[in-house]
Amino acid sequence: MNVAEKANVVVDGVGMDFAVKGGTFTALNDIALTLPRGSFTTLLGPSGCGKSTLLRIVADVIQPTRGTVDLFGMTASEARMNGLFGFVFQDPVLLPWRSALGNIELPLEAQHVPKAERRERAMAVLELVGLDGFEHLLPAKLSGGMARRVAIARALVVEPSILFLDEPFNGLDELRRRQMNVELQRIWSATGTTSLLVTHNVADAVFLSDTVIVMGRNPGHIIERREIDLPRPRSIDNSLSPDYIAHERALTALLSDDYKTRDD
Amino acid sequence: MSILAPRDQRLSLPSWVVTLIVVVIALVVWQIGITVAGTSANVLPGPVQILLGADWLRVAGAAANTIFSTLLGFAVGNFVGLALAVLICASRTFSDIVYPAAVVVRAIPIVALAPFITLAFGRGPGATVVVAALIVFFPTLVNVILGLRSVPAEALELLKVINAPTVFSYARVRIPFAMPSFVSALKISAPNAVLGVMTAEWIIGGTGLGRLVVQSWLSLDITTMWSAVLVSALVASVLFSIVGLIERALLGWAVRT
Amino acid sequence: MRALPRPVLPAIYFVLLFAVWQVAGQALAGPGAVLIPPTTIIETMGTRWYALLLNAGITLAEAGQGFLIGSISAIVLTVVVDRFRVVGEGFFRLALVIYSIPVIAIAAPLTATLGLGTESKIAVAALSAYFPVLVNLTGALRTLDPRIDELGRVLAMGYTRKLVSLRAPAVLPALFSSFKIAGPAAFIGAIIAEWMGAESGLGVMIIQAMFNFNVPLLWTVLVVATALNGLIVFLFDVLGKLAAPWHDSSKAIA
Repeated sequence: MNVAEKANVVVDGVGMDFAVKGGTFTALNDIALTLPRGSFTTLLGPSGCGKSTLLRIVADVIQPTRGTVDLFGMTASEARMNGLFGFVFQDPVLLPWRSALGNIELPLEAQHVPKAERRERAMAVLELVGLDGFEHLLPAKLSGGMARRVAIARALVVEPSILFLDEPFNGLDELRRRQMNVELQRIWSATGTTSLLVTHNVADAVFLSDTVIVMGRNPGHIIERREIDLPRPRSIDNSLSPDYIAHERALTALLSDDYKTRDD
Repeated sequence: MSILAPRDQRLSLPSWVVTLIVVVIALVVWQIGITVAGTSANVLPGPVQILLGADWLRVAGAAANTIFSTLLGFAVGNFVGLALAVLICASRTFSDIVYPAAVVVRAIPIVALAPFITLAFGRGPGATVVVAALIVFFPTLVNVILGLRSVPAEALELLKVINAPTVFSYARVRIPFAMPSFVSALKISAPNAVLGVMTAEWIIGGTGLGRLVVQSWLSLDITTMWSAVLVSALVASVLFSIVGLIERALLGWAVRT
Repeated sequence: MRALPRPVLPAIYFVLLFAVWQVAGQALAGPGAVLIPPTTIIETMGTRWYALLLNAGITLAEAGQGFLIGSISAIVLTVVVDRFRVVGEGFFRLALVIYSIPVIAIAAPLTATLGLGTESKIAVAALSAYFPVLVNLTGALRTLDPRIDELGRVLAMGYTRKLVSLRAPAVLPALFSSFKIAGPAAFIGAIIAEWMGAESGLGVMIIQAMFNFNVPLLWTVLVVATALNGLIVFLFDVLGKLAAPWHDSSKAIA
């Protein structure tokens, strides 16, 4: 690992047990993965494979039962304390009493950034996610897609070293989701932030990722790691081409195998 | 009562105008009914008899006392309830202890405790304030704890990810999230506070509306009794409306969604 | 992860609380003491069980009749509010105004009019009970899933058919949750009405204990009243679950 090219995030031997009635349930076992700096990696798997749990372990929201997480030479906890994380949740969880801008400023307030600088940085990311002109709207007035953009802006405003995305476009309609993927790719290219996405959507995984890590269940484990070597920038038009379909087919086959073995 | 007065769907008049019209119609029907039936004013006086016959100076003085006690008790009870709820929630152990007790506390008929409270806190005018404060305190405590615990899990995770200090978490996220359940506690406790104060006044003696209702009844001054009843309804409605205003100020975001 | 399962810690604290209450109650014992140890309360229950049972029965009977009258009229009024919008809105506002009269204030004129018998208690209990039912039920009907209404249209149902077959079952959970408020309200209403003057009932016991400065009896009656109050809530909770067993799963959709 000493030669590790630009290996910045290293997860090694991670496992997670939960106490349940009459014993323990192993949600994750023996997880090892490496995210190169600036890369976009996706954890792809069915519900219940522990992909969200893994994401939260890397983000130090929960502590693993076993194993280590190393982010940029720091422990997950140190990295979090240093404000290196941006996290986009499945639900946008915007504070309903704050405007879009106020929501984006929240992480900066927690870090005691002066008001003028706060405003300036929040406006900058607001522009980056394409919401300039909507900064004073309350969340109730935002559409689903706009709320997700605010959530992404709130994650990016701290200029994170790593961006965690937990099924961020869940619940959007098909076309809107594809558009948000294009947006996310653009934002990722513009910031160069190391990103880790969790999804069960094969098309999203192929479209966005440099690397897709396919996960299976019982207990949660890594089935295969697949490099997506498609040229960037990727577009909605391209995403229907045979190259994309081939990747999607391969990933779908891996997931189907996992379902079959489980149904036995 | 814990639910918002439903909004007009067809009527475009402001809500209070509708209520006013309804009240006026009811008073007119009452007056006509009394006159036609020829009911004695000693049993049930009509609105006109009440307006002309009641001892309004006494009613006004009594109302002022009741309002003062209620507002003071309301403020004290809510402040203590809110503060204690936050302290309890900040400690996992405390909330584990208090949470199951909340179920029991909710079942206590606090209004029925009024005689006991006056006994415990003496018969001074302070007892009315204590009764109102206690009546307000419990629903506020329980609801704010429930509200603080109902903050979405992802919002708490967000606070962790952005490494927010505890005080920041409470001031900017958790307490605001608990405000809707705080306000629904206020809606329950506002009319109950008036009721509690009047009950205490009736037991203690004092000079409030609670005493006046019973006293004028016993001295067969039925018109004054009815005027006190109507004024106490007015006081309760006004307090309820104030809660509505507080709700609008605090929860504009929630009402609009 | 933790050594103790979650219910254990609170249980220990509550046992401790009762122990402290007991010790403090005994330490402060004597004429005029306001704090009474739990054992004295249990003792009083033992010696006065017959009076407690009798009076509780009387108050519960008053509350029960008042609850029935109050909730049935509330259900009728709800249908009127729902069927005839403008007139209904007027009735609804009037109901709101009447409800804002504090129970103790309405209890006096009702006792003056109806006398010291049970009628005045039943009336006060009914007045306390009708409002939660009316508000919850009207609110539930108004915020009903519009698809239920659409289903009724598709099936060409008239107002009554739609109400009976589709809308009423859908608001059943709301009805029972309103009973959980209305039940205790009727009970407390009956107690307060008894304060105004009655021959028997828990309210009479409270007032007599207070004026005689019989603190142990006052505590005991209040404990009994609290337990009954909780029991009423529990009863309607169980009934609600039996009447609408689908509710918990349907909550996820709503």
